[in-house]
Amino acid sequence: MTEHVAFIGLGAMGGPIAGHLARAGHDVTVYNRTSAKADAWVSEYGGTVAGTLQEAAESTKFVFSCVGGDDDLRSITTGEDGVFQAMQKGAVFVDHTTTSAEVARQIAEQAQAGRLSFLDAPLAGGVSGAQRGVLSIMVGGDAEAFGQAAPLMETYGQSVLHMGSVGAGQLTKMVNQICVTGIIESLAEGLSFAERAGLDGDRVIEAISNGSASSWQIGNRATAMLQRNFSGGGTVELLRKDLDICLNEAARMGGSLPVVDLVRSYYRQIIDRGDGGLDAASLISLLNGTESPGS
Amino acid sequence: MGMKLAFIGLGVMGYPMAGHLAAAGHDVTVYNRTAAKARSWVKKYGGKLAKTPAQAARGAEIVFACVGNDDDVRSVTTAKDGIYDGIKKGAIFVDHTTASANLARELDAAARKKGCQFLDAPVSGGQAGAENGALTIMIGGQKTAFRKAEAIIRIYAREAQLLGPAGAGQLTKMVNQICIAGLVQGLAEGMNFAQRAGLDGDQVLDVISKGAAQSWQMENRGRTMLRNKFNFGFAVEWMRKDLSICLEESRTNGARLPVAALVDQFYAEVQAQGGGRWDTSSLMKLLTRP
Repeated sequence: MTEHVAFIGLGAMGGPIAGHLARAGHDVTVYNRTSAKADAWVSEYGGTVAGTLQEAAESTKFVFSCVGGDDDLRSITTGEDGVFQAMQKGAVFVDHTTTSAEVARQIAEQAQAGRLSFLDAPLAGGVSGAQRGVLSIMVGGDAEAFGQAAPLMETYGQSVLHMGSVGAGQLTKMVNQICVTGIIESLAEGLSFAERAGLDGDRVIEAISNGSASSWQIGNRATAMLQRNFSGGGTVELLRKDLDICLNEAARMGGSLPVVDLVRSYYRQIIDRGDGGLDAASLISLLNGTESPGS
Repeated sequence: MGMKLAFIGLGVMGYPMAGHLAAAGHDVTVYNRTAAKARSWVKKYGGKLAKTPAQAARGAEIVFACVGNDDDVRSVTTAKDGIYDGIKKGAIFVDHTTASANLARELDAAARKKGCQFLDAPVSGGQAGAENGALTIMIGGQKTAFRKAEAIIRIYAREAQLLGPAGAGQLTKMVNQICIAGLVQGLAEGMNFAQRAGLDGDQVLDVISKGAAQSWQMENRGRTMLRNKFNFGFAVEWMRKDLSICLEESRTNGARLPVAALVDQFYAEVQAQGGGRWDTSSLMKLLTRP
């Protein structure tokens, strides 16, 4: 069934995701803060450009967003020109931004007051996952709204799962980021050790990547780390934002994340050095004396 | 007719490894510090029992060892009645113990003096890997020795790779353990976070184990961590032994291991709680306290 949907935020993730919706035959109206991007998107996929946020959302059953963070989400939903004022009763807002669980709960409450539904639906799988339409989508919110929106998300999600009430999507994404953090720092320490020990790094990776140390990261990122190629994954700047969210949430719940806290301080060092645009593999550069990949 | 082999150290790893050699038709002589274990092995697999490591090694083409730590290896090799007292010229000594790279270099030099060859060959894959003959073996030493021993080692290995000169096997095993240390801690932090957040941990694992957070540890330990089950697997005290080797070596080669060092201290805390024999995933215990 063809749906009329709105999509807000055509960045590296949002652009290709909205593209999958259009290619699946849905009628997509897009809005982007920088309008040139919206124009470029429409010339590639068809659909309509909206001049304002409210214009994009006023006549659709579903509104999707993929923006920067908590503040951006607040501004496009409940802000002065936000879409909540314009959306039809019973419409569903699906947020793909990685945000705090707290903001998701706040916005969901305001959605409910306006008889709208809100789903927090952060993504995993990166830019290449978005392009290939094979993202993992972790969703929190009302089960009925999830049931309505799931078929649309399946046009770009390989696994679209309902994790619980509002905020549960964001919390699941946080678990993902926490687990990744320990893996990458350990991999950096291990490979840096291998180099100092005079071992052939590629052969070490081959030898240890099938046993108890194996991970997606060792299979997909270790070689780039050895080659000091720090451009394949999400940026340190974004990762630090994600870890801030995890640490705030843990502080609220009373849990402790010692290694996440430590690695966040390493990301901070990389950002302070001016290398916040590199990916997480650049953690290895902190272990190698004075080496600076940015220079 | 099989080859004449010797195997020293019939612990949870050595016992089944030596068993695979015997089952493949080789003539295996065994030695174990606690003789009862060696008798039980011979009863099960045939082969011969030796009273000392030297006696076991006498006449063997390849001598294997799999014991506890550096000191244990020295006591069965260069000490009196050790392997090097009995090993014949031209034979190969293969050490499967996880030990220091310095010990490997020391044993290599001692082997050369005896006119034999040495391979350091620590294993990964745990007890299950040993029993199923599916170990990963990381080897250091001379190519000629590796070529001669490889076919025999592959009887219980899924992978056996030569990684460089003597010590390179141990160093590679160290990289493996360093990669595991922070990975397991991150997994523990994640699982604990999921529980505190009131999420369904099993469902969270289903979702995140398909992407960037996937690991062997997540697939094999995530669910037991959620259930506070630690009474199995690779013991904390063994991991601390391995990490101490890594940290010691890092002082020599200048590598920095901040998270591995931190996790080593967390394991010390697990030990202090009486968890020395618990699986390494018991890092979770330190986070679940109220």
